[in-house]
Amino acid sequence: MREALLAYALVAPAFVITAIFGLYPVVFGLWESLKQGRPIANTYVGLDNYTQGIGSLIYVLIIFVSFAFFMLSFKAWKRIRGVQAQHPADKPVWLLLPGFLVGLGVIMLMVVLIIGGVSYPLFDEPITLGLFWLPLFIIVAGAVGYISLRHRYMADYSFYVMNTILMMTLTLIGILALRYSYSQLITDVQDARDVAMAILNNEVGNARPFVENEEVILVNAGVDGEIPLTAAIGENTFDVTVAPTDLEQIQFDELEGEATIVYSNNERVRVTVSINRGFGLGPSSFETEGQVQIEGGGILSGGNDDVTASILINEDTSVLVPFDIYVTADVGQDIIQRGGYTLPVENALRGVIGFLVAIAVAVYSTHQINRIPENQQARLKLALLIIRVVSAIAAIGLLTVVATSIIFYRQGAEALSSLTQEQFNQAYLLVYGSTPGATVTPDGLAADMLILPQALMVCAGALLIYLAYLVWTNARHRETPLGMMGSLFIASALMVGGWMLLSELPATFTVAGQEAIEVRNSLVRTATFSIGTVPPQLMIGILLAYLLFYEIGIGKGLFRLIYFMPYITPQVATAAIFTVIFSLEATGLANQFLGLVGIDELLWLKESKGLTQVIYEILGGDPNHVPRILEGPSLALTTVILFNVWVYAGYNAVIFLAGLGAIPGELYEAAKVDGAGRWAAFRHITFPLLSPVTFFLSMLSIIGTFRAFGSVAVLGRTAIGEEVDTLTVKMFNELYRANNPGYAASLAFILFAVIVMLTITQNQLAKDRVFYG
Amino acid sequence: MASTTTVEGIPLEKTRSQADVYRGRPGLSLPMFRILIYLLMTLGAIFFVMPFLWMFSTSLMTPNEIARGSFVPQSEFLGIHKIPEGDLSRPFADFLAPEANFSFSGTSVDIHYAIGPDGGAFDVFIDGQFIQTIDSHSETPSDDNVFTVDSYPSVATLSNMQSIALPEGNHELRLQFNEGESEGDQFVIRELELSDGTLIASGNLEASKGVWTAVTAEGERLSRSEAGEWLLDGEPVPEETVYLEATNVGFPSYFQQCCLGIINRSPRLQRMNQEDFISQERPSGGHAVLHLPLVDQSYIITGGVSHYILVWDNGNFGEYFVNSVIITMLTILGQTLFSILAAYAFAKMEFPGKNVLFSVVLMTIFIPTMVTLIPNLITVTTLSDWSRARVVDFNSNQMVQDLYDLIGFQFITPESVKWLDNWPALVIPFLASTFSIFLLRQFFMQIPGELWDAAQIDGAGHVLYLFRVVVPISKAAITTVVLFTFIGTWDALEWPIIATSSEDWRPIAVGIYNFRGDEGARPNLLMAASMIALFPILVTYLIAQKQFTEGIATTGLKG
Repeated sequence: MREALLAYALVAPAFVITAIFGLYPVVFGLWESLKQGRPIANTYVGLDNYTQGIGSLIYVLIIFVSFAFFMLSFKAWKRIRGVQAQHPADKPVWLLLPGFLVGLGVIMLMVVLIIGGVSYPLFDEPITLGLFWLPLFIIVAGAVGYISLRHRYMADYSFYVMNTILMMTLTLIGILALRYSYSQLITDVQDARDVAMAILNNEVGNARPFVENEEVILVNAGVDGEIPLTAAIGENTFDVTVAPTDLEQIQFDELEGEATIVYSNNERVRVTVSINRGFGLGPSSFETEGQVQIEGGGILSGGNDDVTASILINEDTSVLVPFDIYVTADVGQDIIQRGGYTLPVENALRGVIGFLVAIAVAVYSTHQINRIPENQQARLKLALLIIRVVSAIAAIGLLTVVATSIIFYRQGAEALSSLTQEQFNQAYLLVYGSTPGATVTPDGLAADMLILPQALMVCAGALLIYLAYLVWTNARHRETPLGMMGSLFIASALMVGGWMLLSELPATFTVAGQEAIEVRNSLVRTATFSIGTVPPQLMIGILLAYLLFYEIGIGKGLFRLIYFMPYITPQVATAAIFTVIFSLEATGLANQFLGLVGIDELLWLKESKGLTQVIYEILGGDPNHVPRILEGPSLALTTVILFNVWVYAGYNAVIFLAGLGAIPGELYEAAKVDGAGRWAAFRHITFPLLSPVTFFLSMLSIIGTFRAFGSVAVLGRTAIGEEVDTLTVKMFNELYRANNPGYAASLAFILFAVIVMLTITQNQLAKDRVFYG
Repeated sequence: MASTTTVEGIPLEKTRSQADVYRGRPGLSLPMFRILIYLLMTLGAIFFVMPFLWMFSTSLMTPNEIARGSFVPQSEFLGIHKIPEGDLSRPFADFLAPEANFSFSGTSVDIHYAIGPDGGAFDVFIDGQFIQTIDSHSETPSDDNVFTVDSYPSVATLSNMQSIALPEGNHELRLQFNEGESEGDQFVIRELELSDGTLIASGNLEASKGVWTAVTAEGERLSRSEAGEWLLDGEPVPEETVYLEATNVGFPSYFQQCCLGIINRSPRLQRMNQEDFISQERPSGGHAVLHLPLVDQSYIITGGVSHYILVWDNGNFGEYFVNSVIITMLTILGQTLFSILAAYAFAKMEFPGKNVLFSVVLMTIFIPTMVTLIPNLITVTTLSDWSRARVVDFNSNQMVQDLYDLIGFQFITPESVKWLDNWPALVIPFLASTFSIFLLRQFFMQIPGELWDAAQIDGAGHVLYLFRVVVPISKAAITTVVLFTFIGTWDALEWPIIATSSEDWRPIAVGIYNFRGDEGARPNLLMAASMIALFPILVTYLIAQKQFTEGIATTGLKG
């Protein structure tokens, strides 16, 4: 016990600082990223920062993250089961309850710590607490539970305790994340949907224009007076006067047949007059536009009820000219025709949940069927088969519900975005009796409407691809060729479907407009930077290490010293050197170097043209002829890449050197006996045996490039525009220059997510590629 | 070592010293190939070391040399000129590098020059031979005069005097600025071009001469008594208020760029900004006035070295450097201590929850700095406000105030305990490093348990054992940790930028980051600043090269 206390005392300083400045910020930062405004006067805005940066993708990410939490929690459970298998008498299930209590308490405590107090709606009135007592009480209750259950277990009790706590905490976090994104999704989409519904479907949809005076007399080929109309919208009626004065221009003596006036929307009126010139000249038409004035404000909208009025030409022979009026803000017409509403978000989401459940049931029953041995329990098998079919049918049915709602939402969004701001304002005024706030725009609402379909489609795409993967691996176990073919067919169908749905992914970005495009650009720049930096630096590193290790005798230490120098020296200073070396002056070192080869000086960091464009230009071509896709990284970014290669090549070499030292020399001797040359030995011995090192380095380097800040920032201050601003720099600028900490925090978490995903992907890829000897 | 080894019966022509170490290496021993490899490696090494050399040489160059694109600084390296004490009216033209050298190839060169309102003179030399003095008194002051050099000076032949046209080939052109006859003589060489229009140099090359005067801050002239006191209308003036005024300096910007550094041997650290230098434009003379605080003894440093002095003093890098040193020292001390303690507990002691705690600590290694940046800023601000509020409370206590009255000063003020823009914000969050803990733990785990048993028999507890046995035998690992902490702290950028708002605690990396913004046009100063930032690390690296490479080879990280 004394030793334990001493150990805690020794660990305490480092642990406390790590906890305060290393771990707590992650959770606290998440909370900050949900707020907007200056650091002091910021307000909670939910996921707005994220939707601003990456659009609806954030919902997809949260859903996946919470699934990941569930998976981890499931893994913890499996670990528990693994231990329990050796002690069958243990019942770890009972430990889940105290685990739940502790996990809940910890999470509540975290929330209290971060938000600084929470109101718990325990009794009739919520109690607002800046206090810790409730979470602490819950934790203590959990601890008591653990202690009282202690003697029932044979296996390592602390293992059980830790894992059940971990498991329940992860599950709770997963549920909370899922619940959070669900409610955010509903709020975000529902608001947009409500406004859209109000504008598109109910009130405005009922508008009917009436033409009071159906006969308009054209005097001397002109319009005598205005055309008075009355529009009835809901219970209100509006007097509308149409004065297409431009009709005067028409030579009515040529007029034969009918003139059609088409009101294609509520603001501008388009008048189409078809004139039959007769005698083989054929019909010609004349178009003009006039303003529809709606007295008292409001909007004319409605279906495709054609209103026919007549125009009389009061010439020698009065001609009755019928004309049609389409009074529409055509918006939402499709929706209106389909029944006049979009599905409530909850219904759509319920459909999704139902679909998932049905799929799960189908998969589970398939699993159970496969477990039943041949020719046994025929009735159970039949029942399971029926369940499978029914759930599959249910899944398809629910899928149509989801698909329909997706279509509805997209149509609603389309309809909304076809409105001009003025039309929208009028419609909004009509419905809500007030002008919309500055942030409520038709485009914004349309974007919000799109969030649901996008989130659903991307999730479904990923799910389908996962299913395809499952079916694909399952196909291996199929014994009959037909079964296998069938499985493969289903897998590829699922795959195609999945990718088709995933093709929605780029669109998720566009939801958020300009800002998201900038985020995407900076992400692309970061990726380009990474791709441009890592392979060359690894190649140079391995080459240097190889030469240093095998070919260099005298002066090895000196070479290593020199090659390693860029890595060890402060990058801020070395980046400053590069700004001078790659200056745009003809006398900069880089340009002098080019001068030696006979190439005109380049702008380097001030050059936003792509690398291939620049090379093409040097070769004498027109840089504008280079296709966009081949442009490559801008010369400015290339300079940053060069800097990073220069910095990290020596570092890679040192690590490769350590790796080379571990390769037993006998292998080369054996290879020599087999007649292998230098290259063959390198290719077949050195390279494969270095693969763990290569993997380690590539992982480290890629993550390093995604995290890089100092050098990129220093070079970026000299560089043109935002040409080299990677996501870290953008994030920093948002924080430091734009003083927008909430948004910056959300960008940091996006970066974090990217890094985590990269790490996981790399680990998965490396599993069977890396040879660990 | 020098014996003929055979590998699998194949005799090798020549033995390399490494051959015995790496028995099985696949190398052939073709000398040509070996030479090629060495050549390649040397080329690579030149490429790798070039930026450093370039930085050093650029830091010593004058702007003109940079504009010309020379590789090696040709101007003066170091010149120390004492500001005259007695005779302040001596012209200071000799403080400036009074000549400019150009090389060109061709048969003629045009010198475009401008003469200041007060005139001046310069001598033109070609290939070391004097050609002509161009005197402002023989020209009317104007913006663009041309003087063409196309021949050597007249030489006597048998028949008559004649000049010899310049032959094709390389020539050296030297312009030497003379002292003019009156104050403020000034020349500006605008450009030099060959007769075919090729520019050799462009931009302003200025020379001027002026006079030192002792003045007050208001610009009133001072005289000096026999005893060496400064007098204003006969009244002595304290020395701190005396400024040196260098009137009629043609272009102060040139004067600054032209390698000016001031060493003040003063008890207080003098810092001069550009505003101090150029206090005012005197409309009367039409020239800018340099305004230098006069301290006991002042020197003017010219030459490349002066860039370092300029950056150190005026660019504030001296203070940044000291800040960086303090921050780094504190961080190294604290972090190493805490890491040793924690690593020891994780490696050698048993306590409940050890694995969980360790994995919690280890988790932080995956979290990018950017994620923690904002929350930490808020945390630090909160802590800052909190501790200030506590001190304000404390100080408002009557007893404490009495105590302060008694001892005569406040030993704790709200300002001294703030976190932001003070050392705690820059040090305390970095007192624990997952990397250090991990590295030390790995090392401690290799220490055999027998040592602990022996120590226990001798009656030592954990703490004694840790500091008497474990730490001494882990010197190598601790050195590595210290070195990496040093580099990491010295190089840190993003956190210091947002955590410091004034110059008081700004480390050198931030100094360079900010330097980019305002001093972009002055590469020599930037390079001098970078040199200062780089120097400690470079020296440490050269001394402890082995620790670095081995530390990185075993851990793969820098910290």
